[in-house]
Amino acid sequence: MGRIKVVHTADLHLGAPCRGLPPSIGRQRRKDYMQTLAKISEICKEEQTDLLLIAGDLWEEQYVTRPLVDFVADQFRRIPETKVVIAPGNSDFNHPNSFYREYPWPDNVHIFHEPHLSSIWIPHLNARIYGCAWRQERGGLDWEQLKDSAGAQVVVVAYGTPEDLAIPSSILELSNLAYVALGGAHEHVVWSPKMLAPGSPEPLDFSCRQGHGILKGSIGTAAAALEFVSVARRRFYTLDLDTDGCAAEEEVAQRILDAVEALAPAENLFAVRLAGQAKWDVLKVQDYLDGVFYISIAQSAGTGYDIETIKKEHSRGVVGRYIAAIEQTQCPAEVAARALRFGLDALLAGRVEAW
Amino acid sequence: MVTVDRLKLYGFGRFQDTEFTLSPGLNVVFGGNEAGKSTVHSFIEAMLFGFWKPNLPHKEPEPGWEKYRPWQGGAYGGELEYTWSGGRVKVVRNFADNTVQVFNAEDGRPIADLPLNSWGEPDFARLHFGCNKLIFRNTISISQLGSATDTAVVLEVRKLLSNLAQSGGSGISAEKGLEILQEAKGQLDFELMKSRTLLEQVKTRLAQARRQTEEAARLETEQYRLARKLSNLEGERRRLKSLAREAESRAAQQKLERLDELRRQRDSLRGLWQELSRASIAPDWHQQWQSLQAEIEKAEELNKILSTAWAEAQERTKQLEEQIEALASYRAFDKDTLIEMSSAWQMQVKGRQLIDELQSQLEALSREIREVTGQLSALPYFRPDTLEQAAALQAQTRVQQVDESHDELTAELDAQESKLSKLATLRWLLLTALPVTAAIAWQVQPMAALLAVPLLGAIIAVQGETKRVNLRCRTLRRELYTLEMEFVNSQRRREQAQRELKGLFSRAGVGSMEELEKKFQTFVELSDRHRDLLREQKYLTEKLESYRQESAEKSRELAEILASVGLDDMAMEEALACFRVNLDKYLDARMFLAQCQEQEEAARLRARQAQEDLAALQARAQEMMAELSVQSPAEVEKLAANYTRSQELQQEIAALEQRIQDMLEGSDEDSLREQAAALPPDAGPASYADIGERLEKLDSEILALQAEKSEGLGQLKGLYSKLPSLAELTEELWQLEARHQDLELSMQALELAQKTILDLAQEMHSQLAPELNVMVSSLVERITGGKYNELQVESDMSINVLAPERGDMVDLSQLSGGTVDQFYFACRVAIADLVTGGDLPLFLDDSFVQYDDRRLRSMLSLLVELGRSRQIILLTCQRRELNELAQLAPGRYRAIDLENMG
Repeated sequence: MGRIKVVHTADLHLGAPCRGLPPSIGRQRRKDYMQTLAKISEICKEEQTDLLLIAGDLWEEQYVTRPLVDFVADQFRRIPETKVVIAPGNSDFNHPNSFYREYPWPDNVHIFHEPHLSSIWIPHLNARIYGCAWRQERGGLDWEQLKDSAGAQVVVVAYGTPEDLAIPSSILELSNLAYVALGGAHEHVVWSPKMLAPGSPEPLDFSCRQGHGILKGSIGTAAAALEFVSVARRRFYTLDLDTDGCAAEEEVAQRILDAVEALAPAENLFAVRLAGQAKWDVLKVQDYLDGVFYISIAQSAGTGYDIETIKKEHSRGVVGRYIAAIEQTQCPAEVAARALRFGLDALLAGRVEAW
Repeated sequence: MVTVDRLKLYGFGRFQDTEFTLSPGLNVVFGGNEAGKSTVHSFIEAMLFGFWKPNLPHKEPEPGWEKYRPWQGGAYGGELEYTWSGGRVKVVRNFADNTVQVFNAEDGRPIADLPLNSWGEPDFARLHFGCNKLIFRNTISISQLGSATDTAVVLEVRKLLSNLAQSGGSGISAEKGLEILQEAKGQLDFELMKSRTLLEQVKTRLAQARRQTEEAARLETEQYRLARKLSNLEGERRRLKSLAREAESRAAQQKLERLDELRRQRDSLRGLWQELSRASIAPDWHQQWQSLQAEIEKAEELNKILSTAWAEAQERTKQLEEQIEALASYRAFDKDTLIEMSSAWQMQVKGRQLIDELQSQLEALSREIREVTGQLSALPYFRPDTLEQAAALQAQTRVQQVDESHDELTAELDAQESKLSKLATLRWLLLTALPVTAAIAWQVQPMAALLAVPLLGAIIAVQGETKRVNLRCRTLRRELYTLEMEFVNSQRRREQAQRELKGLFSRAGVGSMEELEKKFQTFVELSDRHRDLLREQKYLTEKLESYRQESAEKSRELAEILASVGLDDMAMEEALACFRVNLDKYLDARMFLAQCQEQEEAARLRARQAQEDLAALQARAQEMMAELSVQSPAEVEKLAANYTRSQELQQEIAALEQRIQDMLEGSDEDSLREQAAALPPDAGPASYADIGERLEKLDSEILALQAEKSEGLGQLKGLYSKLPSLAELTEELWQLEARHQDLELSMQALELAQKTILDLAQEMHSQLAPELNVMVSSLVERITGGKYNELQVESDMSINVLAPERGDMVDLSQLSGGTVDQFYFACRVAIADLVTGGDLPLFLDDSFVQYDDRRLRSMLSLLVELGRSRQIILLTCQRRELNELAQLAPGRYRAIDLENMG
């Protein structure tokens, strides 16, 4: 049985909103996701890939529109020699009115509509591709039918973890099993040399740490030779920055720019936490940050006061007692920290900026 | 005890390289305005705490930092030495670069292990002085001490204590803090409300966008469904088209068969035509024959008519001749005779009627004349001028009005006579007075004689007037007489006229002018009527006679004529009728005879001509038949019919040709044969009409589906044109929710801060009051020399004092002004000690400016007393304090005169 050239991807989440980002950046990110899909299609074209396996969450069902589906179909139409196999996930759930069912997909696209295992036969590859749409219940899939495909290479495409899908070990040990393409994990996961999840090709939020891309290579009953290829348009960075020693917002901004200089600030997204005694006007700091694609700035939860010194200085007075009372209060830490700051601002500075 | 020992100002405000040494007790720093007293005070504070604003999270210099920068430039800083329980310390500051060094003043070594304050500087002031900048300012640094009035001072005391209770003397007000927090809470509330509103709006928009997106998805699905259905229908259409093509092949075959049949018919007709064409005559020849036959027919008909007419004309002539012969006796008469006879008869008949009418008119007229005559005789005779006469008499009988002038004259006469009477009286008086006057003049007063003159004058005047009046009276009487005579005459004439009028009325038999007028009018009308009737009677009589004469003459003439024609034995009317008839007959016959004879001749000639014409035509017909070699006209017609039939055949042949052409139109025969050949051998019978119908129905369905699809597409376009990005709205919502959550956290924090500060203020209040009580009592006792040794600080910071003279607790405000001042000062000092925990120097900066001499003396005495146990630095601009101290405590204080320093 010959090798099959594949590209494996999942969790593109086309059209999804980006939590924590403003609409203007979100809009650009959604364009980024579409460009990434185009890039994947381009890779398939260049590599003359046999199979493009998409293991779920191709788009966000609540937010998908026909123009978006047109775009996706156009990308698939560009690679007529590549068989595109899609197993819908829980975000692109394959309900009766889903675009998966009704849309006139090009001939090279196959979608597993049902939540139980079915297969398609690819004669020129001597391969049978098994797959299913996502189901809420764990397990319950008839994996035994894979044993009926003796003489052909078996490929599986599905959304979920091996535990969710309850893939028996006997199936994983089948000699004609070429590859199990899974999805649902936003980070690249390797369960076994033949069972992988590529992670989302584009990072979705600031919790995404690792690189993002697709799995590309060849599969066969002998082994899967896949490499992880980064295709992400942008990266997310989270930074902590000490502002002690800064006299003004401009200096803080400069310190930030110095910190991100080497991280392609014009392309990437940054979340910066300012630490230190002083409290800064974040909007003023933002004004000095030209040339950065996106940066959000948060201040540490400190009060900006030297609490210990003030406690000593005002030990006999209301200020010292106030600090002690707040420190002893039973309430969420963030509330206590803000209460401390507001109280000290009211007593010492004579003004409070509560937002 | 902490004391400030030495000050050295390198450069600070107006001071440059200036040094002061202070004593541990009372120090008085004197200087006028702008001498630098406050500068010295500020220098001490700045040396201890620097210029940073207290309690800010970041370093921010106070305004004093710039204010006290040396005017001429140069060094900006200084030294301060102080003594505390731990030794003597020297502080060196450079305000320009904000550096501070702390040394042991005895060995000059830096003191290195001092903790740092919030500004990062050695916190020696808090450690050694026991206070921070705020406490320094609010306790041991005292500016204007109290106010002008006692009540104001008492309030100051309460305020002081309240501040201590809340802030421990730091000057930080919990109450103020709570106010600030409350204000912030209000603003945050507003922000929360705005945030809530924004959230709702975005949620609404999001829900709407979601609905629109779902609708768009539904419409898209519908589009795909319609597309599939369309695809199916189009497949069906293709199948039907295929069937239609089959039907077309069959139709082509049928068409070809029909074409062949038509061609056979055409050829058959062509053969027949050729046959007929050989045995036919030309249409123009046939037309000639037909015209000839028509003429022969007409000629025969005409001949018959003319012969009949000629016979009738002969008959008529004969009848007329016989008639004329029978009425020969009427030869002498004509129409005029008839007219005359008729008019004569009419006259006879009408004449009788007319005479009868005239007679009856005359009778009626006579009756009327008699009647009118009777009426007239009943009336009196009236002359034509009777009415005028009566009117004149009536005018004369009108009562004559008394002339107005008579009244006037009478009135004037009365007046003149009255005047005359008065004049007479006056004259009598005057005449009487004259002698009296004379007598008086003679007897008594000669001068009285002078009165005689006017008296005489008056008498003369009166006399003159009297004469005039008399004359006037006579004139008036004459005029009156004339008027009266005229009146009498007119009265007489009136009576006469009345009598005559009465006589007139009597003759007319009336009683009034109106009756007279009516009767007169009646008389005149009747008279006119009578005259008209007589005239008419005469006219009618003459007319009657004339009619009678004429009638008799006419009767005689008529009888003569009737006798001449033998009709005299008949009644007149009947005879006249017969005469009329016979005469008419005779005259008509005579008149028509000539005509009939002429007509007869004409008819004969016409009949002969018609016969000749007919013979000619018949000869021509014979010639034509000879040309065609036929024996009879029927044969000629047959030839002509052949020609017609051949023409018809030609048309039929042409029509068949046309049909063949029409059938071949749009497709040539070869393609038809090809189409026919394409028909499958096993093709079943199919109705082309049926397929066409089905195709039509299918096309309608397809059109309808396309329209539906198009409509759906239009709806989609409309939706997409206004469909907002669901993802962007979601992101906006998430951002707003995060912000709202943040605001809510802040609100919770504000509420916690408020509650905490409130609780603390109450707690501190309850804690400090007893302590303060003790300290203030002790100090007051000392300050007042034991006079007041018990006081009570209440919860509202009011102070009650045990008044020894009364034996009970009284409010502080009830004590004297001086005592209140002492209490205030004692409170300040007690609070300072309470807060700082020790005997710190007191800085009094122009504190007694508003004090009068008496209170000043009292306070200075206190200061001298306190100066025994703590350092006091009194900064003043008033020389009176120096003077007072010079008297109170000579040599027991240190004076520094800033004005007289080098």
